[in-house]
Parts: sequence; C-alpha cells; structure tokens
Amino acid sequence: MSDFQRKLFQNRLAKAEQQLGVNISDVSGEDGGGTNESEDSFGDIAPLPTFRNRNAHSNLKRSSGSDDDAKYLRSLPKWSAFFDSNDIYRDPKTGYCFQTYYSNPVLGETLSDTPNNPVIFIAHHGAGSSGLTFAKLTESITKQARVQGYDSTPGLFTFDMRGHANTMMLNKRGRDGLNFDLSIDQICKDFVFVLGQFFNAHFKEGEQAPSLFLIGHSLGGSVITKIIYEQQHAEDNQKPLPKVISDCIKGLIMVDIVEDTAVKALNSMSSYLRGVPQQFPSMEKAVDWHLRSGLLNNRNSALISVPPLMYKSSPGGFYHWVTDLRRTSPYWSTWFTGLSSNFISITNSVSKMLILVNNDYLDKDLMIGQMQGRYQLLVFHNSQLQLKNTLTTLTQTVCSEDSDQLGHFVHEDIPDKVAISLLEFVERNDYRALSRPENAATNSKIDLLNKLNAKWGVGKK
Amino acid sequence: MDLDSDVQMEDAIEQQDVSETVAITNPTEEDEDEDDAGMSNSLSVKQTITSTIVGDDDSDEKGVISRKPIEQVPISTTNPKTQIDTLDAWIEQLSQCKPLSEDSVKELCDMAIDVLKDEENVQPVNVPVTICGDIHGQFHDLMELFKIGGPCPDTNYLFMGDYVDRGYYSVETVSYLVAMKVRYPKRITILRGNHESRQITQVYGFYDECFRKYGSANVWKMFTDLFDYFPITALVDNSIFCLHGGLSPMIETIDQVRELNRFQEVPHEGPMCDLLWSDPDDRGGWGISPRGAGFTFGQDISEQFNHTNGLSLTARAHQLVMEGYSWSHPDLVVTIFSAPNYCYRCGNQAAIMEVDENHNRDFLQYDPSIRPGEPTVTRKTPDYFL
Amino acid sequence: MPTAGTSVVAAAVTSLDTTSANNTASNGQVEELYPIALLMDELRHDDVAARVQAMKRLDTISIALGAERTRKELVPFLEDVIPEDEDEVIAIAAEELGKFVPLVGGSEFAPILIPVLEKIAACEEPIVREKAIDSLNSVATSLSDEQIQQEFIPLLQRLAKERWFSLHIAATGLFKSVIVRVPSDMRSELLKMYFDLIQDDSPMVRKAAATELPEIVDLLGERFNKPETVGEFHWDIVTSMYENLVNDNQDSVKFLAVDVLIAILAFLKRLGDKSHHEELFESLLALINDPSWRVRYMVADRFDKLAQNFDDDGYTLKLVPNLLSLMKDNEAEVRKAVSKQLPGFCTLANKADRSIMLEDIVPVISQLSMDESETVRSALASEITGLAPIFGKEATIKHLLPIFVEMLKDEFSEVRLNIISKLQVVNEVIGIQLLSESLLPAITSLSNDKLWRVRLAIIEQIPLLAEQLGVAFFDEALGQLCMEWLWDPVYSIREAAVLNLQKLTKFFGEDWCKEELIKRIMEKKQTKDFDNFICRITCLLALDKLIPVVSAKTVSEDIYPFVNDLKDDQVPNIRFNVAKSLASIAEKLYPEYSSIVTDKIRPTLERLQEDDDVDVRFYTEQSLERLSKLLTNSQE
Repeated sequence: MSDFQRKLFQNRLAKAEQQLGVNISDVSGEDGGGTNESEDSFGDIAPLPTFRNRNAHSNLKRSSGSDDDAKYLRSLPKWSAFFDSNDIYRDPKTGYCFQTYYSNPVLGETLSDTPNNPVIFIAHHGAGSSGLTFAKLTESITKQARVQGYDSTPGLFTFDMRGHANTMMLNKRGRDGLNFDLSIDQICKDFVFVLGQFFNAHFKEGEQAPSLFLIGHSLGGSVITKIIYEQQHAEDNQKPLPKVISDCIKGLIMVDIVEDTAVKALNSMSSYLRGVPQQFPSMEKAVDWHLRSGLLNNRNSALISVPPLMYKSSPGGFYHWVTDLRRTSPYWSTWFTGLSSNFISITNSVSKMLILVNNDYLDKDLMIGQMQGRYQLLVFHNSQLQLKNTLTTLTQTVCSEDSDQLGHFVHEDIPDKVAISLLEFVERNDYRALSRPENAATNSKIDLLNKLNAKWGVGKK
Repeated sequence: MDLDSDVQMEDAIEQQDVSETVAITNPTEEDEDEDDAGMSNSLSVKQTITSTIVGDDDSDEKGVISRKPIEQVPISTTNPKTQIDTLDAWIEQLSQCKPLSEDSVKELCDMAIDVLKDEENVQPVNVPVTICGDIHGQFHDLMELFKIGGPCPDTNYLFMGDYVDRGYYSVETVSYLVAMKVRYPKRITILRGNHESRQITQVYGFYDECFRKYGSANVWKMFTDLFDYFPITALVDNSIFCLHGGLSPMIETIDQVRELNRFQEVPHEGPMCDLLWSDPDDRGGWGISPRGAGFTFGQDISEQFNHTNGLSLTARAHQLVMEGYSWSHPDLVVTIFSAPNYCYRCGNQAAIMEVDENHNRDFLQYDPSIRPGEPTVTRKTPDYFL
Repeated sequence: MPTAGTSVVAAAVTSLDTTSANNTASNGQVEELYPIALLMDELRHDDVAARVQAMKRLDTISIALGAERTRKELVPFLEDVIPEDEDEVIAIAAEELGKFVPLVGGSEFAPILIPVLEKIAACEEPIVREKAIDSLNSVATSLSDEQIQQEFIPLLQRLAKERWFSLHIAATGLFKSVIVRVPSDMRSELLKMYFDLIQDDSPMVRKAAATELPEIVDLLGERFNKPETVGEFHWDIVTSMYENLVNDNQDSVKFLAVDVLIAILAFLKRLGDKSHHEELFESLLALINDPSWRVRYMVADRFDKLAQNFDDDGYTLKLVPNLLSLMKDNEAEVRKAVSKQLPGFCTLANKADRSIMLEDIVPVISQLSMDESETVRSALASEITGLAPIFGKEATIKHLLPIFVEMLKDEFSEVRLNIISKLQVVNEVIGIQLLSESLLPAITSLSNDKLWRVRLAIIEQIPLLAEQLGVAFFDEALGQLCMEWLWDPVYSIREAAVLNLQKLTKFFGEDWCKEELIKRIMEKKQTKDFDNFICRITCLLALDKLIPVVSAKTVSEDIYPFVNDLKDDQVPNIRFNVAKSLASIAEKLYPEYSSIVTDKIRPTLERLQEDDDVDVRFYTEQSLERLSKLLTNSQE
C-alpha cells in the first residue's frame, strides 16, 4: 500500500519538476524581449500564487544546458522529411515574404481512358500555429494513399501565415505592423496571393488541371470558407480568385471550428494566454509543454510542428514565442463572424466536410445544415478511439502512429485517421481524381451514377 | 472584467428563472396524476402548461454528477399475463422519464427481438395510422406528440427512426418506444433510422448517455444489438412507402427491399445504407449526397419509383424541416420531422401525419413541450481556440 | 511487493469491471485487502468518468479503512493527488470531503480536513471552489469555538492575505461560518479583513465579497440587535462596506449593494431605528438612477422587499415616483422585473395612501399592459390579477377589468394565458357573473386560439363558468363551443372536451345531457364525418364517459345501442374500445337491465373474443372478467 503511495508521490514529484522547468513566467516584458537571460536570472520570478510552487527552488537550477539543447535540435526531423520543396513567395506589392511547403502529387497508372487529375490539398493553419502543423498529415496522406490502394497520391501545399513561424521570421526586419495586420480580410488576401503564386508556378494553361481541396484548421477554416463563399456569392468583378483556379476547387474541409463555440472560447482566450509560459529554457521543454498541456497529443507530430513556433533571441538564451498571440486580440472579433452561415451557403459545386473533435456541438446554422444534409460531418471522439473495432469499416488495420488522445489539433494527434477520411472524401466527391482500382464497388462513383441514371432512364437536368 | 460581469448577470437572471420553474414544477407533478385519473378541479391553467416538465435533470448534462442508481423493477416471468403486467409497469415508469434498470432493459430487448425478428423488411401497416419522424432523445416532446396525436394503443403509430442521439433522454425515449412495441406490436411500428447504429451512436450522444446513466456500455450494447432487428421500411395499406432516409439506386421495386438481409449494422454503403441515408433533391436523377452516405434523388426518380410500385406517396424523415413537414417532388415525397426545436436550438416546428382509413391525410404541427425547464446547454468551451 | 501487489490490484480491478460491485463486496477478503489501492488505481484511470465514479465511492472506502487509516493514509493521499486532477473529479472530492467529519473520527479530528479542502478551494474553477467552500463551512459547524480560533481563523487569514484572486474569493465564502462565533476583538479584525476584500483590486473578488455580505450582515443583525450588544454589529464598518459597493466602478459589483441595503434595513427594522433612513434612501436613489440597467434591474427586482424593510408609510410614498420611473425604464428587463413587484408593493401603497395607488400607479400599469415587449406584458399578466384583492370590488371593476379585457386580446398567447390562469382571484373579488359578462367575448375568441394549450386552458375554465352561470345563460353563450371542441384536431383538446361534457352533465342533469349532448352526438353519426375513425372513437369515448353520470335507462336506450353498433367496426382500435365500454355499460345496467347484459352484451363480447386482432381479444378478455365478476357477486 505504502509502496504504492510512495510511487505515486514520486511520479507526481517528477511531474511537478517537469512542470516547474516551464512554469517560470517572464515578468520582464510583452514581446519576450529579455535578452540576457541566464540561469541566475531566477531571482525575478514572481512567486507562484498557488500551492503548486512546492519544491520550487530545488528544481529550478537543473534546466538543461545549451549543449543538450543543440543535441536535441539536431535530433528533430526536418521539413524535408515531409515536403518536396519549401519556396518563399514574395508579394511584389508589399515586399512581404511567405514561407511555403509543398509535397508533390504522384499520379499512378490509370486503367481508364481519361488520365487522373492530380489532387492537391491546400492547407491553411490556424492562429498560433504553422504550416508544419500539417507535416504529419502530409506524410499520412502519402502512406494511406498507398496502403488503401488508391491509384495516385495527392499532394499537399501549405504555408506559414502572416505573423507566424518562418513567415514572421522572414519579415522580422521589415515594418512590424505588417506582421500584425491579422484582420480576416488581410489573411484572406494573403491566401489568395499565395494560392495564385502556387497555381501559376505549378500548372500551365492547357495542361491537366488539378483538383484542389482546401483544408483549414481553426482560423484557417474560417479563411477558406470566407474565400469560397465570396467566390460563389460576390459580383463577378469582386470575386477573390480567378476562374481558372476556382474551377479547380472541388472541396472544402474545415477542421475543428464552429462559429458559436469559437466566439465563446475567445472570451476566455485572454486568460488562457496569460497562463501560457512566456519562455522555455530549451526546445525540449517547449515540446513537452505542448504535450503536457494537452494542446498536442502526438509527440511525433509535436517534434516537427512546435519548433517553428519558437525562437531564441540570443545563443544560450531562452526560447520565446514567434507569435505573441495576445497582440492579435484586436482582430479576434472579426475572425469567425458569419462563418457558419457562410459555410452552409456554399453550394454543392464545392463539397463540404466539417471535422470536429470530442463533441458535436454545432451551432444553430450548422445544426440545421447538418440535419438537412448540406455537408458531411465527421466527429472524432476519445471514447470512440477506445472502441477500435468499430472505428472505420473501409480500412484494414494499418500500423498507425495515431495518438489515443484527441485535442484541437486533430490532424496532428491522429494524422492517419484524418488522412483516411480526407482520401475517402476526395474519392467520394471527385472520382476523376482518386479511385481504388481493386475496389470495384467504390470505383468511380459518378460513372456508376451515370450508369444508374441511364438504367433508370433519367438524368440530371 | 466586463465580459465577466456579462456572464454573472445572466447567471443571476437565469437562477431566478430556474427557481420559478422549480416552484411551478412541484405542484405540477401531483397534478399530472390527477389528469391521468381523468378529473382535475384545479383552476390553475399554468400547471397544465408546464405539466410536461419532469424534474430538473440538467445535472447530468454537466458531466459532473451522474444519476442516482436506477431502481429495480419487478422481474417478469414467461407467463403472458405477468409479462403484460411487467410491461405496463415499465411503460408507466418510463412515461415519468425514469429509465429502467439494466436487468429490465436486458429483458425488454430480449422480448423485443422476439417481436421484431418476425417483422418484414417492408412491414405492412394498416390505416388509420399516424406517421412520425425523428425524435432524437427529446423525450418530453415525444410525450407532447402523444398529447397531440392521441395515446397508443387508441391511436396507431408508425415511427420512421432516429429515436436516439443529440437529445438528453435517448435512453428513456428508445426504452419507451420499444416497450410500447413489445406491449402493442400491432398498434405501433418502429423503423430503423441511420442513428440506430453502433457507429453513429458513439459519436452523437447515445453511447455517452448510456454510460452516464448506467455506468457502463452494456445498455448501449443491448440496444444497438436490438437495432439490427428493426424493420427498415413499412408499407401503409399498399400505398404509402415509409422509411427513414430515401430511395436507393439499387432498389427499383419494393420486392428488392424484401430480399435484403437487414439483420446487421447499417452498412457504409449499398441499398440498406441508402434507404436510411438518402435525401430527395431538386436536381433530377441520382446524385452524390453531401452527407457522405446515401444518394440524392430527383423528382424523376420518385415518379418512377412510385409508379413502378403503385404508390401514392413516399413518406420519410431524416431531414430537419422548419415547418415540421415538407413536400418534395410536388406531392410524391413528404418529409416529416417530429423533434420540435431540434437539439434545443434550431427553432423548428415538429409535425406528424395522420392517415385515416380513407387515406385522407392530416398534418398536425406542434411546438416544444417545455420551455423553462429544459436543461440549459452548459458545455465546457474549449481552453484553446484560435 | 511492488510487482506482486500491482498484479493483484490489476486482477481485482478486472474482476470489478466485469462483475457487479455487489458480487465483489461479498468476496470479502479481496475487498478488504486493498480498497485504497483500488481507489488509487481507479483514480489514475484515463477516463475521467471512471475517476469520478471512484471519487464518489470515497466514503465507502473511508468506512472500510476506518477512521485512523482515513486520517493517516486516505486524507494525505487525497491531498497529494486531488489538486492535479480534472475539475469534475476535484468537484466530487470536495463535495465528499464535506461529509468526512464522522469518517475521520469526529469533530476532534475535523481540522485534518482543512488543508486538503484549502488546496481545492484555491482552484480557479468556480464550481470546484464553491464545493470546497461549502465543505469547509460544513466542517466549521462541527468545530468547537476553540478549534475555530486555532484552526479555522488562520485558514481565513492565509486565504485573505495571499495575493491571488481565487484564494480571496474562497476566503469571502468562509466568514459566515465564524463571524458570530468568535470573540469581539477577533470579530472586528475579521470585519476589517472583509473590508479589504470588499475593496480588492480584482472585481471578481469584490463581487464575491459583495455576494456574501448580505448573509453576514443578517447573521450579525440576528445576533446583536439588543441595545447592549448592538455595538457588535459594527455599524461603521458595515455601512462603509455598503458605501464602497454603491460607489464601485463595476456595475456587476455595484448591483449587489441592493441586497446589502436590504440586510441593513432589516437590521434597523429589528431595532426599530429609523434614524439612518434618510441617508440610506439617498443611496438607494443613486442606485435607482444608475446608468447601468443591471443596477436598476436589481433594485426593480427587489423593490417590494426594499419598501417593506423601510417599514414606513412615508418612505413607501417617497418610493412611488421611483416605482413609476422603473416601470417606464428603457430596459425591458427592468420593466419586467418591476412588474412582478406590483402586488407586493401595491399592498403597501394601498395602506399608505389609496388615492396615490389609484391615481398615480394605475395609469402606468395601463401603459405597461401595452408595453412593446411581450415578455414585459407576459410578466405583468401573471401578476396583475393579484391586484384585484388589494383594489377591492369597485376599483377592480373600474380600473382593472378594462386592462384584463385588453390583455386577453394580446397577440402573444402567453399574455392571454397568464390572465386566464389566474382569473379565480378576480372571481373571488367581483363574482363570476360580472366577470363572465365582461370577459365572455374574449373567452369565446380564445376558444379558437391557434395554440392548443390556450384552448385547453379555456376548456378547463368552463365547468366553473357553467356552475355559476346557470343552464340558460350557458347554453346560449357556450353550449355550441363545448361540442365543437370534440372535433378539435388535437387529441388533448378532444380528451378535455369529453371530460368537460361529463362535468357539465353533473351540473345540468340528465335531461340536459340527453337533449344537448347525446342527441347531438347521435346526429353526428348521420354525417360524413362519421366515416373518420377519429370522429367515431371520440363519440365512443364521449358516451363512455357519460355512463357514470346518467341513469341506467338512458344508458340502455341511447348509449348502449350506439356503442353496440360499433362492435363490427373495421378499425380494431374502435372494436377494443367497444369491448371496454360494454363492460362499463354492463356494470351500469346490471341488475336493472340484466337481460341486456346476459343476452346481448355477453354474447357480443364472446364473439369479440374470437377477433383477429390481438388487442381486441385482450381487452375483450378483461371485459369478460369484469362481467363474470359482476354476475358472480350479484349471485352471492
């Protein structure tokens, strides 16, 4: 009994130590400006207000040295393990540069007369994240396309949005205001620019046009929904995208975003952010914090997605956040307004899917839309993961790195399951792009439809 | 801080509302007994208005406190008379929105399998009958439905699926309907909806509710196993084809439905899936359903199907319609939705369709039974959201 | 030991999962070995629900361990493990620990619970914190005065001095347990501490302190209201706290001052002291005129209570203009709140000066009855009938009836309903005759309301009206209506209509019933409506309900033939209701008309016993049982 207790207590102690390495809050300033931190600077630490500061001092001095950190950094995976290219797009009008990542699609041999269109997911991350949040998903898409027997492999293009990750670092010397104009309109303009650049760089007129599926996580979901909504509903001269691009957009996938919930959660964001550590003694601590706080649940993904969020202002110093989210708060109120009704109003020429995590709390617009069958809703549940046998019926068991815990970053936590869902979504909604030759029942659904319509003697009017 | 004050003030007002509600509720429950006895000398109308409020069960919505242990009910034997008494006792208990014990659910499901296994894929139903759509765990609105349409067994009912998920009382709702089915097999028909499935109920609430109310998934397993026996379509007097979703491109004749093996989990695709998932659409022909399962079908399809099978009408549920019912493909397909203010936030009316012995149709629309006493939706907002 | 122990625990946990808890309990030895290990294991379960369940069994485990091990092992264990857990789990623990005093060995050992609850009380989640505070307060009740001073006061001091808002909030909740239990000097120290909390930097703390203050003032006031003890009330500190709240820059804090004022006034009322009324009234005026509607709302919502606690006709009259201004407030919530205060306040105003009530208040009530907000009108409708007894017969007729009539025509159904549902009060004041004459037109129009609950409400008023109106007036005004309700599309209306006919028959007698009801139902049979199953079953049920209230002769001549004709109806639902009805008829007719029972009803039932439909057979079976009981009993 007492062994048990002791063991438990030890575990807790260890946990507390870990936590304390991180809980140190920087009292010196807003923008992580302290430049000459050293291990001796602990004198400034404000007393932690709760009982959790037990044993504080004995553990504080044990933070890892910079050698360890360098070693850790070297051990981390690189972008090139997931993507084929990482071009920088410079907006000639403003001089603003965007960091992009691209994993090429691979076309398989096709049995039918018409060649497959390449499928490319265009992914937009949310606030406080980075393009590399999709790194693991990209890997999983490639892996699952093979495992599930698809005839080709979709690509994925993504980028770091304004004021975030490498894009922030690239523009750090410029006017700071540029980095922090994070109004939804500006973010949309950026996306239109980046997508345009990407499209023009990779697809020539007259060639096989790609099928584009837009994925947006959180704020990113709001951005792509707004763009597609405006594309469909604005006057011709007001449409954000050129027709040649918009014609290629076949689908829209929002990941874990519901307007009502987002707006409500924003109310408590400020206090949440106050509780977030301002700096980390090492990258390892930063990664650990993301995992321990439950923000991320998949260590393999955190290893690639967390580092771009941190920077070190001086060698041997502390890691700070690249993006100070508190500075973005003036824009929060604009980010999600009208999202649900816009999403519902997007017509069927763009297929829609909403992926949610751990609850199906839809707001009124989304609930009515779902109950009228206007889009596909996919909910991943923690409890469901425990019942693995019923999780998905289309796939055989595959070796998966998916976590058994889920959070807001579902595409990082369970990249394999999300990838499978994305592939099925594409297959269902764009047969020309993706199909499974060996699976006759699901092969080219629209061909099947055409045959059925012919058999029934009816057709689309 | 301003934000904080907003919240607090609402709380103050809400609490006041709640206390008023409680004050009304107590006399009400006694009053309901009187109503049942058939006589009420009370002048107070307010009591009748709120008579459908039963307790304030919002506690289990917060996930903090789950229910008290569920009481045991007498055990039945194989003696039919005793069995009927047991069923009547269960129905009485369930009508108070009190769930059965786990053992009773087990027994009930065993009895229900006996009844349902012999029903047909296309279960024949006689007129007069009252046809109803989705209920989704809105137990008190189900009771409202019976107040509008009349009690079973005096009135015959046909429910077109989706008894569970989303609402707060899926357990009570499905237990009640199944108990009625076992007690009055000729008076009530219960079809399978797309939510009567293991996979869907894990996501949309029934699984969690069972776990919360019984402390294990056993009851969920019993019911989802039972769902495999539910008939998937019904044919009212050879004239109205009733089902949850819609048509399937693989099904041209009703006979083809009869050939399906329905005793299984709702498949991911194929005819049985389509019957529970498809929607009518303004576009002609067959189309891909934005839902991710089933198809959409146009007026040309409905015309052909109704004509081939000598039908006057296809009645289905599955889609929320703001007026409670809605015609598609002029008068070939009707959608009926029987969960008012769906999920406590959609603001829709509900409806049922009475078909009399001369095939006259009457739609009865109704509003939610409860306004003040409904559990307020207090879900934890996520910590992080950007 | 660690490895072996762990595997045993694991085995036990598995067995608990698969069998029911009862079974394991009977398996005594295993159970006794490691309740705490089991708990610990369950407490580390990945699933929050499992941890919640484990926490709920805390008392069982404590009982199993006994008081000493609870103190030495369980409480320290909890102290360590709980604060790190999910809020749901901590909340349960906090609640359970409140019941732990007997489990740790009685009040002597109660202080041992303080540290763990203190940690929980520090939690930022309000639900958890509140549960911990509740539990601390309940622990406090079992502490001796000495323990309070030695253990509880230091806790308060720690919480209040720590620089962290949630600890301060926790502190505010604990004063009430001790404030009247400590010696005088300590009390004044505690109140000074509370004064600091009332002025805390964090509005959340100030709000919590303000919320708790009325209870503290009440406690002080109840205890120290004798001339010799009144000093212990600490008037200066209390009123300074009140003033601070009145002047707080956050409206969410400021509005809480209203309840403090009520508590202070209650204290003065007890003392019979009106010397401070002037200044307090001034402060109330400031609140009534506050730019924030929330503050005004709070005053409006407590208006009656405030007036009562001033306890002075002069001040009641001074409040009237303020009442009127709140009734005309820009914010609907304020108008709604003050509407609900009208009966209470008008009782006081009536006592102070009846003419002010009739001349000043009534016109504004009339305005309010046409308020643009339906929720305001609805709130007024639910209260306004309560004014009738205060007004008396004449004034009710003159001033209130016109308002009732207008409100009965309100486009918002809840308004109409709220008036109707409380008409009895008005009836008692002015009598049914007058009431029905003035309201009948409105009632008639409501009988067709599109909302079925409004129709139902009207039906339920009918027997009362009928009883008082008499046959002639009733037939003319309402007779037709009562029949029409039978054919309503909504079942509940038809059901109520059927019952209504039964009740009317009781008042008006059999002849009336035959002429007005049975005859009309017979006529219905000749119409095309009778082809509809709902029409037939309604007729059947209506006649069935009349059986107990008419004579056997009428049953045999009118009701039985009608019912009997339906025995071969094509719809089984009709047939089994015929079967049910026939038993009732038999019971009514026997032995007077025994030949109908034995020669007609019994053979009919015996034939229905062979019906194709299972439910017809079932109900026939029941009816035959009733029949045979009837015949056997009469033979004895």
